[in-house]
Amino acid sequence: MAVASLEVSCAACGARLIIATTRRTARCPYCDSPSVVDRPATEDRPDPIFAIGFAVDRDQARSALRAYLQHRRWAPGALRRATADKVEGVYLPSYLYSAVASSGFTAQIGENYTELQFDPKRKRMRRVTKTELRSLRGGHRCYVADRFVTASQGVANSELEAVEPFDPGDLRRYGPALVSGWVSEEPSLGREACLELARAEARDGVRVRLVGFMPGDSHHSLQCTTDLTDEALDLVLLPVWVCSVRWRHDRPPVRLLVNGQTGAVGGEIPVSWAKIAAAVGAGLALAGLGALIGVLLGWFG
Amino acid sequence: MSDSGLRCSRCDSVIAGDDLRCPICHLPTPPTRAADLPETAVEILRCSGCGAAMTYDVAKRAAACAFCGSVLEIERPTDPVEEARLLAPFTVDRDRARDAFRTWLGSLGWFRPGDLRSEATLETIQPLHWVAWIFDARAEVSWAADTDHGARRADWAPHAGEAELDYDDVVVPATRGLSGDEVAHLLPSYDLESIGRRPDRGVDAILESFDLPRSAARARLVEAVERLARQRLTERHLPGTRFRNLSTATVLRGLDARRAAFPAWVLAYRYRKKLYRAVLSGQDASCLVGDAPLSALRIAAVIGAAAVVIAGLLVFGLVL
Repeated sequence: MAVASLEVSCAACGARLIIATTRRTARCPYCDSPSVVDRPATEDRPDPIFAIGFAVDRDQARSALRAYLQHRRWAPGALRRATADKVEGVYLPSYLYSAVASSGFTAQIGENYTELQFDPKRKRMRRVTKTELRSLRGGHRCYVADRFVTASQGVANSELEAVEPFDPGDLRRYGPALVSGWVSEEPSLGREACLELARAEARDGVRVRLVGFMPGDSHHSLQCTTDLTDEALDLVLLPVWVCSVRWRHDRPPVRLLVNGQTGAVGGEIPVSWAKIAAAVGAGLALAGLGALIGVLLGWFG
Repeated sequence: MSDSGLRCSRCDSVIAGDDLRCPICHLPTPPTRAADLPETAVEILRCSGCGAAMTYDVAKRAAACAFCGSVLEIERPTDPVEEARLLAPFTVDRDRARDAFRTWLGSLGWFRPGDLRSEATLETIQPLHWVAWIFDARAEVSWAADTDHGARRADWAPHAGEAELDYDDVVVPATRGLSGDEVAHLLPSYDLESIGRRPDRGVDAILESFDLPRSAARARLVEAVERLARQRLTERHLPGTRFRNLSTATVLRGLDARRAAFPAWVLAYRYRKKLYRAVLSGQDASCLVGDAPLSALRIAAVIGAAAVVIAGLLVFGLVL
């Protein structure tokens, strides 16, 4: 997508306002009026059909973040005590995917049975459980729904997954009232790429369902192929607090997300190698001490 | 679910006018907004009171004006508690219901008190329209289970299959006033053909409400359809005579559920200071289900007689 911007006059004060093509919203630098942009839909930039409004405010997001950082035992101490420099509420573009999944599967199903066997040590019969393996082939059809995948280059899908789930019960029909005054991004990932991402997530989800679907006492070698038909991919704006935490001047800030609907926090946190080394050292020292005591007891015992 | 006439383009289930997504397959419903804009437009959301710009406010979950505090509510899907739209008429009137009750009291068998028919006093007789969904649907059900069919060393063998189940005018009770047993007993007595929209009910019956918001009612209905599917699978599709670990996955299509109410007479009668309840179908005077006292004396007499017979046989056996 070409990076260009849109130049308009502010509808409130008439000042020239530059809105990046990656944004749906802007604030006039002179009069602070919040504008909402509505562009003609394209293949890779469809109109959002739904949005989930923020339910967690900035203070709640900050305290959720503080609590999250304090509980990271293996993070560097400075990071655990750090507070976020910047906490920005963003309506993240994401695609909501649903489809009909038809799968074929094969698996080896273990059926347990018991048998009487002679135990030569105890010189008596005992009951042992054995497993009979039977192959099973079959089909599985289900709806796949409520799969969200990122449509933003700025937030990886794994980052979004870290703060999921979003409750689709709070979806509202998109309108400017939901995003006015907030940063709202336009999709920056192509629709096709997002569709592939969603299909991969859907197939993973079907596989998890199939594991629960298998009969028997155990199973292994589950193989499945899943066809996805009747697919729907719709643009949805999700509320996310993007937080940046600077904890050392010589390190890049850590970026964490807070789910703007539920307050769940997610993101990658660096670990403190010093803490891990100290823990390993302490473990080794304890083991050494134990061995030493053992040897001494052996001598004097 | 609704009589909006709208159907989901993916699963063909009936959807309500203000549904954002199909309740069955979750396909978003088409937006009601105008079609694509010809060119980019920039708008500022204005407060209708003071003209200031409005922004989304987290605490209010809506766009609010920072100056005059007015709020622009965000349109949300409604979740009403719905009423029955279809009614089956009463064909049994109050007098026939009374007669049917007396006949029933006399037909309960020897273990009931001999004076039940003459001593029982009818306290109340109340007409009731109890509620249920009547639905049509097609279900593509995939299943996997262990059954005893084809078992070798173990007691069980794994099986999997797929079945297409069709449902046509299946009644799922939603009543809270009647018990499951009472409903099961009454259901065969109703003529589904007689159900119509807003008929003249003839009697002033209590119309039960569904007591659940639409979303919860739908969830209960889908649960009921899946339960019926499992039941039909076990009766007709699973091989063998015993099964365990039955898993099912359902793709439901064309679900169309109508909310209907069925007529019944709820009777309360007293026998020797104790109240009992009976329910009579409003369409069949011979279909009555209810509680009735048992005669302890008669039961004791039968047990005593049986004991005497057994003792007699034992003695006879010993003598021989």
